[in-house]
Formats: sequence, structure tokens, C-alpha cells
Amino acid sequence: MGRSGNLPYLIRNKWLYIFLIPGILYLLVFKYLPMAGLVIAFKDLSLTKGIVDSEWVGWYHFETLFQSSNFYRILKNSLLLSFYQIVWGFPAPIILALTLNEIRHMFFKRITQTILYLPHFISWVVLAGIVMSFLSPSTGIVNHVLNTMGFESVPFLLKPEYFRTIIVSAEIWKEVGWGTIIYFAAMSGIDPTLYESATIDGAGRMRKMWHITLPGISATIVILLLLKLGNILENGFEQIYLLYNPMTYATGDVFETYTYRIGLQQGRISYGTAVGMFKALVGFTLIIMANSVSRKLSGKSIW
Amino acid sequence: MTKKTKSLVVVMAVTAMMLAACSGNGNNNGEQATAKPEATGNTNGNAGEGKQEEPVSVKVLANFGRADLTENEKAFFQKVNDALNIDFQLIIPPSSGYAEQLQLTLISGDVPDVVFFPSEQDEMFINAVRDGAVIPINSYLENSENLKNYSYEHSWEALKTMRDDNIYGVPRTSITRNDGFMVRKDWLNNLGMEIPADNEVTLEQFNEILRAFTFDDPDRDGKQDTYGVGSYVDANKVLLPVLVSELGHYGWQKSTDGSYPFMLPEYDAQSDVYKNILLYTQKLYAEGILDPDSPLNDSAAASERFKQGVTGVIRGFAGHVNAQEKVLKDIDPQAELTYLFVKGPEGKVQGTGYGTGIWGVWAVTAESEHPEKVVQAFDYMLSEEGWDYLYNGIEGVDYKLVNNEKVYNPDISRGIATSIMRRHNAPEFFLDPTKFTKAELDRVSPWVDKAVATVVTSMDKGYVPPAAREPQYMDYKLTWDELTTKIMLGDLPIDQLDKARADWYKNGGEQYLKEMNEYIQSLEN
Amino acid sequence: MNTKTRFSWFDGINYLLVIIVCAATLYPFLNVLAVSLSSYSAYVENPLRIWPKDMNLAAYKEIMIHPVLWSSYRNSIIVTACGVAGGMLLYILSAYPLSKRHLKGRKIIMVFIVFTMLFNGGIIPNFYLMRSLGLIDTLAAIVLPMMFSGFNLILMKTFMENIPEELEEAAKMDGASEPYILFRIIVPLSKPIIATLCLFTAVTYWNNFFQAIIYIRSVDNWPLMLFLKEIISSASLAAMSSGGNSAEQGIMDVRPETLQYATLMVVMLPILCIYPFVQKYFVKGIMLGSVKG
Repeated sequence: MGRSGNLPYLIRNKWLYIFLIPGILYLLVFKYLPMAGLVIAFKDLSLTKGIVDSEWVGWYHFETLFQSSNFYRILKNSLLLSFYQIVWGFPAPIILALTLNEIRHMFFKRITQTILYLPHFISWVVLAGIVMSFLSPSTGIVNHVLNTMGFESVPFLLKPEYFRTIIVSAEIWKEVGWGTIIYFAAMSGIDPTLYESATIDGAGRMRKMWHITLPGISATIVILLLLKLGNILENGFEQIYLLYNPMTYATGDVFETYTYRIGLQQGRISYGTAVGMFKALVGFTLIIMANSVSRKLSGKSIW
Repeated sequence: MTKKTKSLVVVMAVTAMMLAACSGNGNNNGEQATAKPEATGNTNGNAGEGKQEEPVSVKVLANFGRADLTENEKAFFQKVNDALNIDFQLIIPPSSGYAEQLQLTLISGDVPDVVFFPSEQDEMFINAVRDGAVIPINSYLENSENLKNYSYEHSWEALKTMRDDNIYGVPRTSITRNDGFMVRKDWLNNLGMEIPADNEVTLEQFNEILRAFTFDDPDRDGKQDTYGVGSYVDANKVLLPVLVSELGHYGWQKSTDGSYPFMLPEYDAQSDVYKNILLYTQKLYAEGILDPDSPLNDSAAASERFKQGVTGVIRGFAGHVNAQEKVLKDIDPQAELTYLFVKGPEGKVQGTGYGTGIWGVWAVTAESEHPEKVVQAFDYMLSEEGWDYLYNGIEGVDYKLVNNEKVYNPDISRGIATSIMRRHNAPEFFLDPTKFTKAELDRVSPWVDKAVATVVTSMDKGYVPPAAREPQYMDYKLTWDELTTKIMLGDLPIDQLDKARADWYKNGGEQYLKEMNEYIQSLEN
Repeated sequence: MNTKTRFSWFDGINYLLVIIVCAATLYPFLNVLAVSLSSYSAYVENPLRIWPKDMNLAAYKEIMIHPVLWSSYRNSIIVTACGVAGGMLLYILSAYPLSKRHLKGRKIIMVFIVFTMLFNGGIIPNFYLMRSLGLIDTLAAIVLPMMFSGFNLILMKTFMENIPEELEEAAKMDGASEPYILFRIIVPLSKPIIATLCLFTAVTYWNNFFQAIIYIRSVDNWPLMLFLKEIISSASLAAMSSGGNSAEQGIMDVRPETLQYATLMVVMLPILCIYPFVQKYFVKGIMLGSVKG
């Protein structure tokens, strides 16, 4: 522990603060300066007049959002979808990483790792097309199997109750492999002598995984989970847009799709900025709260 | 400390140099010059100046599929330049980002002479007009005979954005067509069915065909794996009903009674037309005659289903028949296509068709130094000479004259030149002479001509009243889409339509009707 | 790890799970590859194929004939290299101090950083910024906005927090300065996370085109992804984006999947080649031998 005085501390650790300067400078210039543009959310932006001369409208856009008859639905859908994405999508790469970690055949491991990353690079346009083909009510393979088993065809993509499952499953398919990378990096940081001592103590593979590997990557897990909460009102526009339709609006319409349809394309920039601000505010609040809770419960937190 | 500091400095220096190298690439390659200096304000004064030494620069921000002109296209624009002593330059951003580029161009103040807006109903366009960034062109139109002769009357109306007499841009005309349906002729043959020589069928005949295509194994493969007709969703993901105009929907028309002089069947409680449209599609879907994938497919996907031989009938442009048939034959050598129109309740083929006659606006900006030259350029493209170059091409460049017949070089590409302006009365335009043989043209031209000839204009001329931009109205529109789709797919009974209408009225519909009627009335006067 | 162990049921489950997931993730790739090598009619006939039919390289040829392909490839490589280099430097410098729990002001700085991850002014203010920096139509405008992200920074910081403090204390007692500790001790031990962030950053740059749309004006400065996207839209004559009715297409309603898929392959292959080099950093035991006694 250092002295309580600030100045001596700063001088003694001057290098640490010097190291921070480039990063902070970067953030100030490239992130905070443009943030001044958030004022657009409080104006009626006219491209010709420019930001400064556009008319001030205060909370108008936010009120428009909250008073929209769809607001509670899109809020609910966004939160629920994120919840599902976290409950199912978050553990998937962890489990896969742990599983792969146990594979000892090096060549097999290398090959499979490369294969698992492939869907991450394939655009949603292609993957959504494949999903739609598989789930087609008339020619899809899933319904084909159902029919041979004696069941009627189900138009999955037209049924709101299946929508979340489809979205979350497709996303796992695309991202589970890529998501393991960060956990591998974390696993590399675990002291191997821990494993050796455990072997000597007679611990089996499952016990080693549970008592060494998992705790070893727990900091990473917690941090990633906390950061995910910051994006709780983001659900992945492209995927949802490609797979949803009026029949599934009830569960599938989220913030991003709603604002897109309400005419972002036609240049309702101010409104879009206001909605973005709202989403960011909710996410930020959530991170702060979750961070405190996490620090108390697990000792691990972002700050 | 010295050694490590040194290496730190070296690393930072190297990074800085790399960043400098990255930025060094940019400044020398400015192909697209920035817009010329600020307008000096004497734009109108130049009109009578006569021949100038320097060609006048006319820069146009436009949205086309590719950024660079082919040699053939350059030759066309050279003709334009020569005729008017101007330097017509297209600035084409990547089309995947045109909307953003448009925004940034407008806000940056670096505005070219002309800016292309995808629609005269665009929020951005309306704001630009309102804020004075786009100027009216009435005075320049006085000498533009070609523009006046070859554009739809209602296009000019649609461009009176401020609802006064000022016209705020040159319309890029598109010809409205009342498209019919492409049909598998080989399936008709297999079933022993025929369509009349004039390609027009009644509703009953149409139903017969659809039924047979679904249940009578038209492809003779022993399996029931075909659907009579396929439909698809529009840009808002709303399912397009199988028959619209064919069931009596002609857009905004004089209403028979009720509190509004003009009505749209969707909102008209006194009319059964929209109800029938929903019911018809509902019936086809329930009976398995409509491809169940229709609510999930966009038009490209629906076209693929048609080419795969899953559906037998699909609405489409007659000019595509030859190309579709080619792909079909690759998959199924027996395939053959023909075309048909369905007669409406009055026994005639007629319909409102696609589009409103305007396919984007060439807006002249306040920054332009020579707006009269701009309008002249577009006028020239529709003139006898200009149109000949645009549509037929340039002799020696695009084609050679052999025995007084035009022989085209098959490899040329003229997409940009041919998309820049249209004459409203030249439907042959759809059939690019460089891409069709005479036999192919002869086959489809009558169909295309009929599609153009049978257009009935909706009286709203594409107008969108301000009430439609109210948040409450837009919100309800989403609910309307859900409800009508559910009715068509059988999830909701048809009587829900009445409730939907009543709700629509309450959520801004009344105001909408009022404004639309005022507008139509003003056109009638 | 080296004892000849028998293949237990535990292994069996692991291998089975991995094989199943691999089959599922391999399929789309095979599909994309097959379609890119097939004819359009072959695609329409069976869009889900994994074996090419009417095998031809037409789609690839269509991409390769463009001279812009090569300049955009070059641009992407430059942008990625600069961005990764610059980014790694910033990450290493910034993550190290923040990994020290005793750092005064750490909490405020972290909040400062997380805030930037969520709030964004939008394309217009960012455009203004780049313009006032004079970077419009330069590659720097593509490199800079994505070079340093709070997310990656936090990942590196978390990793560094796991490095035992005894190492630093030992070095300090030997009189080492902070720069020395950072670059001679911490960085070598952080190779897994550095490799990971290099990969993440490189992929982000490689796949990106949005920055280019906003900041780039000349075709010479297009990155690869933008070029490929434009190939597709020029093949379908941009009818959709121009807002016109779809009937205005001079060609038929073709969504050129064969071309689209070929562009995907062209983008993917370089990144897939990089991955094996990165893989070797994910080796357990990087800490082995570093903590003595």
C-alpha cells in the first residue's frame, strides 16, 4: 500500500499514467468529440441548416418513442430476446471451449478449431437463407422429417412462439466457434503447475475442469457477461430483419427493426439518434448496477 | 531506463510512420474533385450569355450500380457535352451507402449541381426543399419541350413539394405497367389446357388453371409437389395479395357514397373490394394453392421457386420471360413459358400497376451556378437526337449499320446511360435492343405493350399526405400490416378487417383521408 | 497429457460433441464454396448443395477482371496492418496500468472507457471530425475509428490482472523500470491475449466497409469488402437501392448468388490462412517456469 497522498503516488507511478495518455487521448478525440453530436437527439435536424442551426425540440423525440403504441412491445421483445441470447448463447462457447480443451489429439483439435470459426465469416444473408430453406413450410428438411414421422408441416418462421428459439439457435450456430477464442486465450493463462498438483492428488479430468479450468477463466466469463449487459437492447439487426415478418412481429420486433421501419432510411436522423441514446443509457445503467453486484458477489468486476 | 525508453520511442515512431503512410495514399488520388467554389448568386443572369469559352461544369450526385462509366457510356455523355457545351460529370458513390452519402453531402455544404433523391416523398428531399437547398425549376422548364412532352403530367404535380406552383426537380420517369403473370406453358400442355390467343383469361379460368397446377400433377412426376401460384413480400415484408386490380382495386377513385368524395378500397367500409382481395388470397393459401413460402419470400426468392418448378404461375414483367425460360430450360428441358392477364369484374384487363411514374428526382441545388444548363442537359436526353443516342446507342460505338439494320456488339454495357432518363411513352425501352433477338422481341412486345396500355391511374398520383408521417399513424400502419397478413394466412377471420379500419380511422386515418381528398380535389380543379 | 490413457467415456462425449458441432459449422462453408463454383441454374435447382455442378470459375473470373480488386486488396492489407499495429500498441500501453488494482483513478477511467463503448454520436459528427482532421478520402480515416475499442481493452486488462504480481515485484527489486517490466515481462506473458486481439482487430478491419462508405471518395481507396459489395450491386443493376420499382431492372430479377458467394470466399480465404499462425499462441503453460519458488 502506498502513502495516502495523491501527489507522491502520482510521481512514484508516473510511468503508469504516462502509458495511459495515448489511449485516453484517442478516446477523447475519436469518441468523445463526436459525442457532442448527440445533441442531434434534441433537435429537428435539417441537413441544410446543419447541426448548430437546426431547431431545438427538447424531449420531443423521446416522447414520441415512449408514446408509441409499440414501445412496450419492442422493449419487452428486446429484453426477452437478449435474455434468451444470454441464457443459451452465452454458455455455449464456454462449454465448447472446455470440451475442446479436453481433446488431446492435437491435429484433430487444430482442424476442428478452424472449422468451428467458419460461420463467423459467412454473412447473415447467406446463413438466413439456409435457415429459411431448412424451415420452409413446403420443401424444408425439418418439415420433411416431421412429415415422415407422421406430423403436419409447421410454418416455423410464421409462428411467433418459435421465433426466439430460431434466432438464438441460428446465432449460436454462427458464433459459438468464434466465441471460444477468448476463452482459449484465458485458459492459456492458467498456471499448469496447478494441473500437475491436481493430478498428483488423484483428481480426474472432470474435477480438474471444475476446480481449475473454470475458476481460471471465471474472470473472463464475468467480464464478458457484464459487457453483454451493456448491449441488452441490441439484438443483431441483420439477422432479425432477414428472418422476421408481420406474423412474428409480436415476439420479433425489437428496437432496431422498429426504428428501421419507422423510416430511418428516409433520414429521420434525429429520431434515430434519440432511440440510440435511450438504448445506450439503459445499457450503461445496467452495467453500473451489475458491476457493483458482481463485485460484491464474486469479487470480479470491470472496475 | 534509457534502453527501454529508446525502444519505446522507436516503436511509437514506427507506428506513427505507418499511419502516415496510410494517410499518404489518399490525397493524391482525388478522382472525384470536390464541388466547385460557392455559387456567386448570379445564376439567372447567365441564361442569355450565349456561347461560352469554357464548357460549363454540371456535377451530378447519382446512384447507380457501379461507380465507373464504360467507354460506350462515356461516348453518350460526350454527345451531351458537345451538344450543350457543358461538362456533365456523374459522381457515383458506392450504392450500398447511397443514403448515407446523400446525408453527408447535404450536410457538408459541398453540394454539386444536381442531387438524386430516390423518391420525391423522401423526408430528406422534403426537408431540403423546405430549407432552400433545392430550387424550383419552373423558369427553366419553359424552354424544355422534351421534358414536358415526355413526362407524365402528374409527375410535375408530385414535384410541387410545397403545395404551391413551384416544381422542385426533374422527374426521372418510369413507365407504369399493369403486369400480368408468367405461366408454365408445358404444364398447360400436359393438362390439355389452353389460354385464349389474346392472353386474357377470366377469373374462373384463372382459378381452374391454379387448381389444376396444384392438384393434377402438371409436371407429370407422380408427386403432388407443385403449387398453382407463388406470391412474395414487398420491401416492408408485407405479403402481396395474389390478385389486386383483377378484383376491382384501381387505387384512389371516386367513391360511390360516403363522407369522402375519393376513396381507397382498403379504407372504404362501403366497398367489398379489399375484403374480396384478402379473402381470395386467404382461400388460396388455405387450400394449398398458394405457395406456403410466399409470406417468407422476397421477389427474388419467389422467382427462384418458379424457376425450380415449385410454382406454376407468378406475377412478373413480360420482358423477363425469355431469360426466365432459359434458366428454366437448364433445369427442366421441357419447360416453356407463356403470359396471361386476368380480366377484372368489368370484363376488361386493367390495373394500377407498379409505381407512380416517377422513379426518383434529379433535384437542382441552390449551389448550382448554371441551373439552366442542368435542365437543358436532361431535356436534351429526351430530345430526338439525345433519345436516339440514349435508347438506340451511337453508330460506330454501340452498333454498326449492316444493310440498314443495327447490329449490336453483344458485350457492351450501357446500364448507366440507359437509366438516367426515360420517355414516358416508350415502353419498348424495357426491351433493351442489345439484349434481345428479333424473334424474342416479337414474342414479348405485345405483352409489354398490353401491360402498358391497360394501366388505370390511381388518382392520388403517389401523393403522401403529411398525416402519413405522424408517429401515431406510422405506428398503426405496422399493426395494420400485421392484421391484414394474419387475415390472409387464416390466423384471423375476415371480420377483423372492420375493426382494423375503425382503429385506423382513430389513429390518424381520418386526417389522412381529409388531406388526401383535398389534394385530389385540387388536382381535379 | 502424455500418459497413454485409455479412451474413456468422457473422451467419447467430448469427441462426439465436437464432431457434431463441426459438421453443423462446416456445412455453410461447403455450401458457399460449392455454389461459387456452380452455374446459376445449378444453384437454383438446389440452393443447399455442397457439391458443385456445372463446375466453372465464371463467378471468380468476374471478380478477378476488375483492376480495382487488386488495389482494394492492397488497401485492406495496409489498413489491417496499420490498424493492428497501432491498436496493439495502444492496448498494451493502456491495459497494463489499468490492470493494477492500486491505480488511483482506475474506477473513473474505466467508467470513462465503458461510456465510449455505448454512446456514439452517429455518422454526421464523426464525418465532421474526420473532415476537420483533413482525413477524408484517406486510408487513415478507415484505420483510426476502429483502432482502439473499450471492449478489447477490457479483455486485455482482465488477462493482465491474472499475471502474478510476484513477477513484477521481483523485477522491481532488481531495479527495473515500468517500461522494462511492461515490455520485457508482461508482454511476453500476454502473448495469448495479444494474439487474440490481433485476430479480432484484423478480422474487424478486414470485413469492414461502413467506414469506407462514409469517408472514402475515390475508388482507388476502396477496401476489399466495399469493392466486393459493389460488384454484387452492379451485377443486379442497383434497382433496389435507387428506390425505383423493381420492374426497372434491365436484366431479369437475378440475385446473383454464385457471384455473391464467390465474393465471400475471396474475403474469407486470407483470414483463414492467418489463423493457424495465431493458434500456436494458445498454448497452455505460458506461465510455466516464470514463477520460481
